Amino acid sequence: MYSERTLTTSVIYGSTIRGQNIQYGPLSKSPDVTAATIGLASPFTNLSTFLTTKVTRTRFTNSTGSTTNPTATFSATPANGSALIAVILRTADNTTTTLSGWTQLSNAGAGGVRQAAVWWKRAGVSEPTVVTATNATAAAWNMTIIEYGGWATLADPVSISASATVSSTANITVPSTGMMAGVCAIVNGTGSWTTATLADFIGNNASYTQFAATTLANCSEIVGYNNYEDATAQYTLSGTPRATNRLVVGWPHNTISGTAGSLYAGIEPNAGSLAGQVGIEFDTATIPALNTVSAATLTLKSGTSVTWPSTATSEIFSINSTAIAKTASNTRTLWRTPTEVAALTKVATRAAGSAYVANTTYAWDSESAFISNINQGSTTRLLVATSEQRTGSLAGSTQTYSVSDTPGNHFLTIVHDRLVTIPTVTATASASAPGRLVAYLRTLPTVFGNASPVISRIASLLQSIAASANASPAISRIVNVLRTITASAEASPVITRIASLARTITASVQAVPGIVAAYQPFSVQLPRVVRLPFRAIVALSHQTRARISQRSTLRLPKE
Amino acid sequence: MTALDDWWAVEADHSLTDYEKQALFNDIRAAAFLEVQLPFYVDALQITGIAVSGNRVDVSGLGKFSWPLRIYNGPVGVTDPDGNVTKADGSKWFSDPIEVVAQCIRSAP
Repeated sequence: MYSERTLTTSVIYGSTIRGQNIQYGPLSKSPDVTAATIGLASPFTNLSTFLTTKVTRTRFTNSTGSTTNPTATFSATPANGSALIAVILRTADNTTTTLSGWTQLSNAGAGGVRQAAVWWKRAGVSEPTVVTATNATAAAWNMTIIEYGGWATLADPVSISASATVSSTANITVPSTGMMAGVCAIVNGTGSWTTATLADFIGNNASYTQFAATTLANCSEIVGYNNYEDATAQYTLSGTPRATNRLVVGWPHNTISGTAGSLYAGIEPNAGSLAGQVGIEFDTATIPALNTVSAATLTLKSGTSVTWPSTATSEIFSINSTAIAKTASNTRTLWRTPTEVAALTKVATRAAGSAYVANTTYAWDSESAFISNINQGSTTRLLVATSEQRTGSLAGSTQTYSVSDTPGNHFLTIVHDRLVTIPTVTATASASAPGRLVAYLRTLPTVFGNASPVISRIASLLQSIAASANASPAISRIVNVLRTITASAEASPVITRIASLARTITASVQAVPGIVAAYQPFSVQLPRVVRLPFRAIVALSHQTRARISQRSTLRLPKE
Repeated sequence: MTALDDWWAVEADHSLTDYEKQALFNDIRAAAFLEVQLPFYVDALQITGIAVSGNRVDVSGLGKFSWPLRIYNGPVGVTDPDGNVTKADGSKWFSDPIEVVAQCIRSAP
């Protein structure tokens, strides 16, 4: 019995990836949240606060009526700086609704098509509680006004999915890119859709609140995962199709930034800003916990952007205990403040100023701590960031890089080994006149029974590959019990008995020149000498025929 | 249709669950690696065997390397500016699974 280490190289492709860019949403730069907005410029004061700030709804009111001027009243005076949203849904559609002092984000409505319109306003000091829109004609209306604080006091809402006409019963998913928090509305009416519901897109588990759900209108709030991540609303329409309008406004999520197909890590201090961190998950459950990891390398594929930080270093950190997949939790998970990043274990880096070509794989330089942070038997999670995001310092120029947003484009290469104890590989038994020799082998090659002058018995119990039992000069008995492949039992010159029990492929029993007794089928036409012991009885059963021919001899006792 | 085309078609099918996609990826991967002619060489290494089971590809070979190479959730091709298959986004890919093996071997520390 002995032990050895067996090496394996495992390459594990990513299973989940999440990116978060807190400064602005997908492909929308107007209005965006600049570095100045969140204080990225020296002394970097607001970033930590920003990273923990969510869009928070303070209050809302929903009213209905059928007069000319829709109106609603806040239950209290909105706070100075809050973002106010007003959604007006009308069955009459051929006149313009106005809301003085507010900015219209989206509006659609024409002859035969019901109107959906939304406005927003930054609340001032002593903001009025009563909000009244004006319209020249009377019609059924539904009006929702909402006050948002938190992150909404820093960033302006945008039209995520502009008011547009719905004319079929198909489900409509908006927006495909998701949002942090948004207000979604669809107008309905008697004689058209029997139901016009709005809900969180199946499977996303974002939080969802209905402001209005009547036969006329549905106005709801969708808040994304962790408030920073994506939510997707889905309208479900049934009944008689009729042209109507729906819209989504709010604060775009920051899951995907920049060019489609890419997630960004790093900070851009100027307008059009980016500040991303990316989490990647690898299923390392296939690396047994008892194995020893001797090396680990992270290979990431670049995104469609070729920029690479000139002064900041790409840094990868272990975040094994942080869930990266979507959850219904409203607690921040992936994002880390500089202090929090600094507390993580750095496992890999890539130097500032390195070459970076789009859609190309690059191996990062592993830190010594990488191997101990491979979460063997479980999931390994990594945070893709930069040295700026660790230190909180900030260069004057862009220090970002993109990675592919497809998790399977990134992989971990892990070399690991395991101490394996092998019961027996090769067994050699040498004995001087033992009465019995037994070898039990579980693997590979051969058992030899070498004995001089006499071994009464050899038994080999082999489970695999190849086996042979060789004995010289005289063995009274050999038993081979073989399960696979190849077996042979050879004896020279005399073996009292050989039994080979082989289950597969090949087995042979050879003895030269004489075998006293062997379990060889007599159909094999080999000359044999069969000696029966003294006083032996040979009983021939009914219809048994014993043929003695040519030079065979049958000697019988004189009696 | 290459294996990569099949792969991308599954990737783009939003009606499938992740579990269903994974199962289809496994089938596509198995079919693609079955086509590989053995042995082949990656630099100084000779690849002598490939076995696919579920999401795992076991690669055995000769030469100085920590054999076996086990690839989990691997693709059936790799991106490369000179690739022979073009994805909808314009990126170029090698459709040959041999490139996947080569990439994994060359990534080893």
